[in-house]
Amino acid sequence: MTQSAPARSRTSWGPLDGGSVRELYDDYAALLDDGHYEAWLDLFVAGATYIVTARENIERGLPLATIRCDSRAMLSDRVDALTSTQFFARRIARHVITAIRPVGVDAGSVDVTANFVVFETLVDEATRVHSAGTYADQVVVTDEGPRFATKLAIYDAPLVPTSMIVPL
Amino acid sequence: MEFSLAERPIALSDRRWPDAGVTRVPFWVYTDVALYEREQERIFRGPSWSYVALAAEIPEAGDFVRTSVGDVPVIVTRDRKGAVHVVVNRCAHRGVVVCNAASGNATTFTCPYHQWQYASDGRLLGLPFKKGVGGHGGMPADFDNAEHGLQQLCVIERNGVVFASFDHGLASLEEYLGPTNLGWFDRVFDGRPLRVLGYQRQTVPANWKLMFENIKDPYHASLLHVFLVTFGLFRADNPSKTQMDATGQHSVLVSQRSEQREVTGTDDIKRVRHDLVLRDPTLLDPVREFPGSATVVMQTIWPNLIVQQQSNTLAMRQLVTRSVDEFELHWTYFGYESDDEEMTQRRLRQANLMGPAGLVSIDDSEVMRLAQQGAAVGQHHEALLEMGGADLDDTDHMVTEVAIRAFYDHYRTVMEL
Repeated sequence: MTQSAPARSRTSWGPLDGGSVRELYDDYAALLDDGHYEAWLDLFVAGATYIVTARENIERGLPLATIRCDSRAMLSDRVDALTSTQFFARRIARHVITAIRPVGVDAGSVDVTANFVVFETLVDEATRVHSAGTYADQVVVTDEGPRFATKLAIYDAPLVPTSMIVPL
Repeated sequence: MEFSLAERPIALSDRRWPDAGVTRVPFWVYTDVALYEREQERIFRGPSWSYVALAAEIPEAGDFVRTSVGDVPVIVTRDRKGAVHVVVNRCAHRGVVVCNAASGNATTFTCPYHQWQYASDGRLLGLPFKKGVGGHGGMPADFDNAEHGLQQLCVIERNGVVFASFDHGLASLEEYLGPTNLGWFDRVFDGRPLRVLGYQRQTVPANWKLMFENIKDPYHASLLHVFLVTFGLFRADNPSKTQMDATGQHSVLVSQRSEQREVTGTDDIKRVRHDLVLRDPTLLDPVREFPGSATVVMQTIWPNLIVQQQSNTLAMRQLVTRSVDEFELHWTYFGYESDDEEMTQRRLRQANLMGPAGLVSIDDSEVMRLAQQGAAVGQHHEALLEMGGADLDDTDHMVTEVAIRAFYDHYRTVMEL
């Protein structure tokens, strides 16, 4: 069996332990899907940026995002809106995150890519795929373990089905 | 064994608008498939200027973007000489979609099926085997390329905004909008070159008219949008006005923000959160950028455009109809070429309010879905539009549904209902 060149030249996890990064993404999915938003916010460092955008904006070199948080505090403001001011029909989200790979390494951080699929189930409706895409993140070493310094979620289909309530 | 027969569909010719007139909207306007077809013919393929693109999306010769007018797919192109064209994206030969890319640069478009080739303006340039191969086949001797181009729409551009119409005998955009609405349009599109910031798009499982109703309804915004109310961006006691054109088809809703404080305008709002403060205040740091005191200007231009100015977030919201119970909303955010980096960042941050994940507009897409669900099982019922009275006149407050009444008054004329 032959391996592709990119797989053979795979970047190492550098300062991080691959298993603990996998756990970071597992926690990310579980905390979001269970609605534990405060604990989910703790997976980001204070200066973290969180951006969700359509692939077409990336491909066309356009800066607009669908969600743009320049700090964990701004992401926290979004959580406040989600839990107290926004109106939406109840739904269940399931994040499925796979193919977590290191793609660049620095002294205290690793650039990580991963694929995601988010299933969405509205009351009285069949489960559907809400979105699919890739993460392009930067994970850093902290005393509490690996944390997100940047998270960029790029969704593939330009059309969002109705609303994007739960963050990607 | 008993059989329950499904309700027989009612013919469009048997539909009757409620006697109460402008204060009622029968729910079948959101669900009748034959009515939807008539809308496509009389409104979207009829005498109306549909928004198709910003000129800044296709700045160079050969640039193109794909979009739709009603549910007809079109390509907006810029030819070698710089002229903008809008052509139907459907090969004159066998109907195949000619252009697949969402955007790009090309001075000719070639159908993938039999390689018929078209120019930017839709002219058929040529086709393989037109004269046959080795004396066999070929098109008839009288085949004329000029009769087999892509269908061309009439195009008009004002200060960087491109509109198109299937009707080639339509009045100018200035006449179409009327003086008041033209004035509000020119407030944002004042001739300064625009800079496209990017796109957000969503599918909404609702009839397209519910989107117009939503934006023409300031009453809901002061109640449903707790985020806006909480932070003073839009409230029932803010200075406001609603202005229509002479026909009622276009309207503008103008308002002015106030400070975040408890006032009478929020007494009736159960969910308002006076304790909420932003942990990162840069999320909302609007600056005044237009003359006058208005901070919110939402303009609806018949039949498919909402021009959004909420604080410093500027966007075209384009409606694309897909079926009687589904439309797409395409948000094109923009600023000006002259914006400094700080202003661009401000616009990008304020975009958090809007779109499919908008801190505010999520409320709307969710409610429109529920409105469609209610209409679908309410065929013999009707919506009530009596807030602010039964008139069709401009108002100087936001506790009104007058712009929806005016919209349907015009709609009924066009649709002969």
